[in-house]
Amino acid sequence: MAQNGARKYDAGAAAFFVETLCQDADTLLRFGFAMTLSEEIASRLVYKTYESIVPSLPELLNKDASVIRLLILRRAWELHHEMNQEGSSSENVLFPLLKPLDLETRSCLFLIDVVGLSIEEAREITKMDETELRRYLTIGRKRLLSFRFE
Amino acid sequence: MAQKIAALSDEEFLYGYLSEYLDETLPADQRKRFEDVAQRLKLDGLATDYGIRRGRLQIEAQRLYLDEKHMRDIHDLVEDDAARANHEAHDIDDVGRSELTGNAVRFVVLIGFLGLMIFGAYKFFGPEKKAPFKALDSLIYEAIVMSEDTEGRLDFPTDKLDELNTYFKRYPELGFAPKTMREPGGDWELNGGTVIDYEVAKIMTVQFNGKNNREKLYLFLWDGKLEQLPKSEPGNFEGLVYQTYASDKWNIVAWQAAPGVTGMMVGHRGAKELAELAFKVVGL
Repeated sequence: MAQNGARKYDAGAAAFFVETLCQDADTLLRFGFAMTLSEEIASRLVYKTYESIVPSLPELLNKDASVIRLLILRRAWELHHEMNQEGSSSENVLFPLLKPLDLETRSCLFLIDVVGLSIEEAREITKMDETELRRYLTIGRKRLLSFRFE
Repeated sequence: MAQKIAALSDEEFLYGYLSEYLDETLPADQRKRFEDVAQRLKLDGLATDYGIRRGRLQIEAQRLYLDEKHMRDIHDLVEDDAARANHEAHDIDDVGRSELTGNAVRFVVLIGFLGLMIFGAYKFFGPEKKAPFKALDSLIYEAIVMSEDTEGRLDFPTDKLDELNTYFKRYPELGFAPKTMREPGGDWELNGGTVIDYEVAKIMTVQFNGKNNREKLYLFLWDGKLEQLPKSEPGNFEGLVYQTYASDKWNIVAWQAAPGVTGMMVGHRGAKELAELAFKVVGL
């Protein structure tokens, strides 16, 4: 997956990428899993997300960590809609919880209840209006409350 | 906000605002509406159930993380050849180490019998080894037992925090210097404290009760490091960095209360609220 050849980023920018931007990689993977229902596809989505923001690295250097996090999550959301890939099975215990739910419901549930974003932050990522987002949350939380974890 | 809420049915309002209700960020009038709707729909326990389920969802989600190879692929997007060479050198070291490991295994097999003999002799004649202290399992168990038999488990029942602070400060060989605790305020009142003695560690334990219900909240402090607990995604409440866990009925937050002192708050509230209580009672 990784490409060879010299890179054009100085040590400071590379360190910022590795030590700051990549802190959100696991969060991104979890959001990716909610969207794709597959750990493998979610891993690819995480890679593609970081790959797509690398050209903007110099502009991100002075941005606040919370802004960067939203930007990365937003990019993952957009890329998922471009890739449009979804797993059909998974050993993960969350798969049977999430499978019956639609993409929007799964995403809202994870952004608010797992990642811990506010409604406003989740709206920035999904571009939904607040009423719509709360309705998706209602469906997701009802499912969560009725689901029996193994 | 009122317009947005008006567009939602009562049920959608209830489920859609669960996190704000649980985290106490709903304005007073909306909080009242939430409680009225919950009562009318006979869903009084919904927020508590949701808090527990949300905790479980978070725990399960935290089991998803990128492995080292995937992370390195991402790092390679920006690393130059020199940095990558360092990684490769590291990989070569790993291969070299595995060769060494092979040789070491042969060596270990040769001395295995001798080791077993020494181990057997130590087990038979040596002192009994102390059981390791598994804080997460042990203290959830303690919370369950104490909630079922409060009076019998508290060595120092009191509703006065000053008295309890003095009790802990004077407790012999606690293993750490206890911080002076402050009142949690809000819905909570002090019920007392005790010290649980596990031989390997003494656990300073405080119980708070809900003022208007039978809800229990436990604070545990002991001589230990947060890293000794299973890894969990951190949260942050005004500088108090905590880790969250959940069992079927309890939510748990743990944090480094002081250098070498680990704190754990166990209750039925959401992680953020537990962290806020930890912040109020113990501070940074």
